[in-house]
Parts: sequence; structure tokens; C-alpha cells
Amino acid sequence: MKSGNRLKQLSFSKGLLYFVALYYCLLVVNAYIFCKPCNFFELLFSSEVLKPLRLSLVSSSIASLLSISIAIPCAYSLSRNRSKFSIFIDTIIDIPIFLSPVALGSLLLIFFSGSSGLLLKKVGIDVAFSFLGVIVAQFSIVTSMAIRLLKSAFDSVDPFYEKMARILGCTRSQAFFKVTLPMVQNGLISSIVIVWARCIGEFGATIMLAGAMPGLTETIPISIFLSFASADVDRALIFTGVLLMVSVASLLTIKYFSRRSYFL
Amino acid sequence: MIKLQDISLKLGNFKVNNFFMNVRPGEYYILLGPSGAGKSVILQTIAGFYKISSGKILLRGIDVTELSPEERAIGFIPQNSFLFPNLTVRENILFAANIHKIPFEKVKEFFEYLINILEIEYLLNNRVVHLSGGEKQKVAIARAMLLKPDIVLLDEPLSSLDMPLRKKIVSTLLQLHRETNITFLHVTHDQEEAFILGDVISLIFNGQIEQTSKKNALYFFPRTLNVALFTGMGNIFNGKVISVDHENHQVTISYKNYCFVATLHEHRPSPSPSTAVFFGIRAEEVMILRDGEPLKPLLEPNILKGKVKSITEKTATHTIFFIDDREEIELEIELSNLVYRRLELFTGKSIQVSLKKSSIWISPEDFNKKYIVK
Repeated sequence: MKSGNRLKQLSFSKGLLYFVALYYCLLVVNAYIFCKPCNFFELLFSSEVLKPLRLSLVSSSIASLLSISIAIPCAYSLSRNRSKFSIFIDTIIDIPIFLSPVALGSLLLIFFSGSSGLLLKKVGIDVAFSFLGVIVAQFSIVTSMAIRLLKSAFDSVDPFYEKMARILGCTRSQAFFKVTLPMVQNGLISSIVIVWARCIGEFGATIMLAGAMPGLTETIPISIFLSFASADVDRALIFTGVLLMVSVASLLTIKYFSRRSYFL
Repeated sequence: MIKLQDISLKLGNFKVNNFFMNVRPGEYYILLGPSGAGKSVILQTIAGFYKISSGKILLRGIDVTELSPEERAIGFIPQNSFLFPNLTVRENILFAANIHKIPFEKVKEFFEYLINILEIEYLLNNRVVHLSGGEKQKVAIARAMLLKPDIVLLDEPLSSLDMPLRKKIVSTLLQLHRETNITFLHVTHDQEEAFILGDVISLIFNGQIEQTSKKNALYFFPRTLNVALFTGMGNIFNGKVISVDHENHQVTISYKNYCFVATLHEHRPSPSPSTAVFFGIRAEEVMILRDGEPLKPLLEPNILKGKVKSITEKTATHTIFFIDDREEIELEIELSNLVYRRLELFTGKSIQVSLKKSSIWISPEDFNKKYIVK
């Protein structure tokens, strides 16, 4: 009797899982089968698609690189220091993850169009409504996430490995680069991919700080928004398709690295 | 070789105060104690993993208190091997040589000696995650010793291994110590391991050493109640000294309605009359007298009549629980299986036991106040 109930519960949860997966597949299939974007491949390689794609790729690559470079030492420090003050810092770092991107974008806009923005403008750095604004917005959104992801990776490495490396002759930095970093290699690669994919898909903060200027600040998500605004569903679906491909490629990469272990 | 002078440190709620220790060159020194006594903290402090708040750490006569772990030039073998999982066995063993940029040719001879003695040649190209616990620990030993440090610290290296493997590694450690003459400081909670390996054993409780002795002295002459209990003194009682006979080197102790005579040992402090003492006898030192057998004069004074209360069967021995006729004293008696069979014991059987006076251990109660071995 009991095993029968368990079986029913199992079939119910399995059924629910398949339903959710089917729901997401249905969204994609519905969009591409019923709307049938004409000349999909012709449009895909046209300049009006390639330009935002290039802009997105460049901005997200720069923002990811910057955020990961900053996140590695920050995450390591957070992982190894367990003081009360570090808990406070940890909470501050987490705020952008919970804050709506539009809200963070509006804070960025107020900051960079206020006195700080004017000061930067005087030295030739124009952040608001510029390509630099796209990078700053993406960077601001993903850095806290990168720190969180990398902190988990560093947490998984027992600090005693570093102690062992040091007793074997490593300096503090050698212990980090020769022992800790190689041990979080898979987590690091997964974090880079997630951060990069999140940058490509960033919309709220980018549109608030950099605006939606075609050719200058028009990233793929902004293109989708602009295409729908001008009732160009075909164009919007092509950009959505590009984002879908980025998501699938990212997911496959993450799955590959999270499954790859020292056993291989 | 290793000298800790009056060191103090605090780690969370755990404190070590005014700790002294002295390990001589070439010694196999054991720091023995129960879990949570602070053995590993002391070892890791010597390695430089923890900062001390006061005192001095001297290695080879040099003050290393302020030096970082990499500047202390010592080998360290941790409890769980902590091999680097992204490297092969060979890369793990050669890690220190690579860090110090020492060419393989210079370490080749000792590298080969280590892999032969530890029997790990067939593992060299394996990833460490494929190794068993024992194999990992052997690789950790080779990794720690590759550069021939004159001091090796071992932090419970055998505690996670099964008995046959433990025996094998114990004999390898003894061989390594004998052939290299490196100073070993080994931390363990396992008495047997300590007694097999150690030249000198220190017993540590709550961050303080209570006794440092050669192994036999620790076993037969524990200085405190803690040491007596930890080294397995099965029968301990709280008595009172009636008289001390310095001429015949013996002391008479009363316990309930009994009087026991014990030998005074030369190097043991003599208790004063009327003082309270702990006295005891090891389970394997209690003798069961055969019916009708004439008594030897040595056994005469301390004879108890009673019966077998219960019997516990073990692999190589039997533990007999004895209770006297007045039901005032219970004793634990350890017998080999052979002796047990000869005596034909069973629960309820009336027997006589003797506590040999030279086997009775005495410790004045005030000895059990914590003291520091300097």
C-alpha cells in the first residue's frame, strides 16, 4: 500500500516535471511554427541583425572579462574570511542579485548623469547613453552574480589544501595560483559562461543607462524590444533565436564542465 | 630540534596556555591524547598555520615564531592526505621539488627510495582520486619527505585506515625513521600506535601535557589520574594512606574495610600518612589463584575472596568481572584465552584474586592538579 502511494507520488512529480519542460518547448515551437518568420537565414546575416549582435558580443565579452577579473579576488576573500564584517560585505554584494535590473539601471543613470557623471565627462569619459554605458550596466548587473558563483567554487576547496601547498614551499600567491585556482577550474569556466550569457541577455539596466540608440547602444535584447515596438515580429524572433542559441550553447558548456571532474 | 617555550594561543573557545615541549634530534616523539585535547592545534602551530599570542617556537635552535610555513622547511603529513586532486601521484610527490625549482636528477635517488619503501611505484601515473585511503596516505608520506626535511610532523596519519593497512604503514614509518634519522613528531589518539612507534610519549589533555615519559614509564607509572585512565588502568580506587614503611619500601592503603600493601618505587614520590590517594591495578596484572595452590609471599597481603560476576569474551582475551564477598570491590581481570580455559571459570564461580603489591599504582590526589612539564 505504502509503495503504491510512493509510486503515485513519483509519477505525479515526474509528470509535473515533463509538463514544465513541455511548456517551455511549446513557447519556442509555437513562436517559430505558427509565426513562421520569413527569410530567417537571410535576415540572420543581414547588417541590421549583425550590428546589434556584434555590439552585444563585444560589450558582454568586455563586461564579463572585467567582472570575472574583479570577482576572483573578491570571491576568494569572501570565501576565506569569515568575520562579522565580511558577512555585512557579503550582504551588500548580494543586493544587485535581488534588485530589479531596471531599478539598478535607474540608480546607475542617476549616478552617471549627476555630478559624478559630469566629473567623468570632464576627463572625457561619457557613460550615460553611450557604448560605455552598455558595458557599465552589464558589468554592474553581473559582478555580484560572478562573486556569488565563484565564492561557491572557492568554498568547495578546503583551505587546508593551501596550507599543505605552503608547507611544501609555496608562497601565499603561489598556493592560490598553483593549487586553489586549478582546483576551481571547472567552477571558474562555468561562472564565465553564465556571466557572459547573462550579459548578452541584459536589458533593464542597459536600456536605463545607455538607452536604445540603434547602432550605438542597441544590444540584442533591446533590438527585440524595439522590433516589437515597431510591430516587426519576424525581426524580433530572429533576435530571440540568437539569444536561444546563446543560451543552449552556454548550457551545454556549463553541463560539460560541471560533469567533467578529476576522475576523467 | 623542536622546542616550544611557554607558548599560548586561542582558537575560538579553545585555549593553549604556557605550553612547553622539547623534541630531541632524531627522536620519534608522540603527542598522545583524546580528541579535542589540542594535539593537532599544537602540531599545526609548529607548522606555522596558527599564530601564537606569546612564547617562542624554536626549530633546530632557530626562533621561527614569526616565519611563514614555507620558511620553516618541515614535512607535514595530514590526517586525510590532502593530495592535490588535479595532479597525478608523481606530480604530487614532486610538488615541493617543482616549487623550489629543484631538477628531478637531484631528488631522483631519494624519490626512488621513497616509492620503493612505500611500494607505490605502480601508482605513479594515476590520478589521486583513483587511490584508496592507504595509497593516498603513502603518497602523502612520500610528498612530505621528498626534500629530506630534518623534521616531519604527522597529524593522525593512520586514523582513517583499517587495521591491516595501519600495521603495514606503521612498520614503514618505523623503517623510514630508522633509515633516515629524521625527527618525527607524531600526533595520535591511538595508544597502540603510540607505543609501537614512539621513543618518547607526551600525554596531552585540554591543551596541557600531563606526562612525558618513555613508553613503559607512561604505562606502568602514570603520574596523574587522567594518564592512568587514558592508558587503560581498569581498576582505580580512592583510598587513604595508613602507613609508610620506608625501610621495606612499602605503603599500606585502606579502602572501605580492606587494607592493601603496595611497593614504593624509587623514582615515584612517596605519599604521606593520612593522605588521600588514588590507587589501582591494571586488569592484566590481577592474578586469579588456583584452588589449593600454596601462596607465594609476594602475593600474600592483598588477597580478595569473591566470585565471578560476569564474563566478556573478546578475540584474544576474556574479561572477567569479579566482585568480593562483602560486595565492596569490583575488579576487571584480563585473561588470555589459554589461561581462561585452564581456570575453567564461569559466572558465579567462587574465586580468590591477588593484587601483586609491586603492580599497584599509587598517585596522591593532589598530583592530579594540572602541572606543566618543562
